[in-house]
Amino acid sequence: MSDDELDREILKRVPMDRRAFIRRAVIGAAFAAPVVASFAAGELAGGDRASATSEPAFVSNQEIPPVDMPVLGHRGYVPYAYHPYQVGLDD
Amino acid sequence: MTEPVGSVLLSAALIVRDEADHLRACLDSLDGLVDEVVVVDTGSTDGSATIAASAGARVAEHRWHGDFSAARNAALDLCRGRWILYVDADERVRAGTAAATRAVLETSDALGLLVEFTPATGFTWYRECRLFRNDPAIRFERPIHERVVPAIERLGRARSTGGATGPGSVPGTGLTGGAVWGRVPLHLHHLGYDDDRPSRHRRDLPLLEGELARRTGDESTWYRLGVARAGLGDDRGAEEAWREGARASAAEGDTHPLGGMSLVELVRISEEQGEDPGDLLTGALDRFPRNRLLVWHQARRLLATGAPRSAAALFAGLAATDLEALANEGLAYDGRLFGSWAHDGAGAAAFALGNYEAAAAEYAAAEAAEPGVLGYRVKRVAATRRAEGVRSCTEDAATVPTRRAG
Repeated sequence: MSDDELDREILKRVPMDRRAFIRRAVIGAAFAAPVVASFAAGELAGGDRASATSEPAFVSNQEIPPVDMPVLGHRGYVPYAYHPYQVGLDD
Repeated sequence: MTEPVGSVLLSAALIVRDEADHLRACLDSLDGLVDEVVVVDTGSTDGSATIAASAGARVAEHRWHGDFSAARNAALDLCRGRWILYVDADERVRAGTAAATRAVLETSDALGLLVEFTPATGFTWYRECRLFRNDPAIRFERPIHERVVPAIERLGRARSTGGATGPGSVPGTGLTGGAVWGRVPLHLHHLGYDDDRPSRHRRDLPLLEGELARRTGDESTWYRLGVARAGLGDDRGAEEAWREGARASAAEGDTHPLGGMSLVELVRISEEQGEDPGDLLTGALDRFPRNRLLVWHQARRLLATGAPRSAAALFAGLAATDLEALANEGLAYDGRLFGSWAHDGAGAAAFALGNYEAAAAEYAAAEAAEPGVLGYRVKRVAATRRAEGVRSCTEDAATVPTRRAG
């Protein structure tokens, strides 16, 4: 997939109400090579659960791509760590 | 005639109930490692007992009454090896470790041995006691999350007092108290969390609640109750359990790793609700500075509050984590924390600092660590184009004629 194709693919995945904003932002941007990708990063970052894990501090600043906390696929809640039962820590 | 205890080197002890899907592969993985397999069936209706018997295991029945320790101890009672490995049907022994493990067993003077244990696919590993002497004093305790370590430690102390065995400990594991511990190069991989989690949570829920009725202040059980509730979709109940876990942990004043995990979940919930977890996070890190998930949250917060250099240092530290050393700390983490998540964060920090080439490299590393996540590619392309834009602007500036003075 070329980067242009990637842009189109991203726009397809971004919700309709955000597409107009992203297009305007791209057209009006100052840099020579701003792309859909740079503005859509916040929409798609974090894989499976991007839209559910909003991070207002990042989303409000489109200049920094977000760092979201993804989960393991679509299987519901999954712990982020495990602890061994067979150690003598909690007696 | 029944052979006496000690007639073979190593027995494997399993308890099973409807494990037909897993059991054959588990028994196959034990081949060459153990001399005998004891399987205690607690009420299977799927032919598990037949599978075990056909694989050469000694099979016994045990009536289930909600007590894992009772079932496991029934299996231990039947073992004839000088050592016992307890293993579950949804676990696999990693190939290639049998000979080295048996060599340790032939010469070790330890009472209990730690194996390497991966609790779920994609997670880092920790050390756990799964091998111990076949001694009637070493038996499991507690109906759920049964534990054998206290019995080993008691036996170690008794032997130490009697002068038979000196006290010992394994630094970094929390294993102390007079028992003599050792390690074996055996690696177990647990697959049970990879499939039907809800049924496991439904099974565990009443047992965890029963455990908490007996031990109200046990932060690790509160954390696990929160996990079970969350896994069954009860988010509010999960949050309540984690709050109780955090309270219990603070009240006890210790630093049990799962007390830290309750705090991790509360920080996550706070963020998802759009709140600033600052005070909560700071307090959590004061008590659990080595909890890498808290470190990761802290790095994200530093980034969000305009401190990208400090954030970059924390993300870089996560990416450089020595997983061998980490195994001694008592937690196995989602492995992405040290791969794609760390590089993703480092990319954002570099981006915020205007170092777009470095950001692109970090996002490329995130992509390599976790292929298929479109977000990493998006960010890598964005960073690459920013870098190209900067280069283009710099080159344009270099070609503008300089006005001569005078």
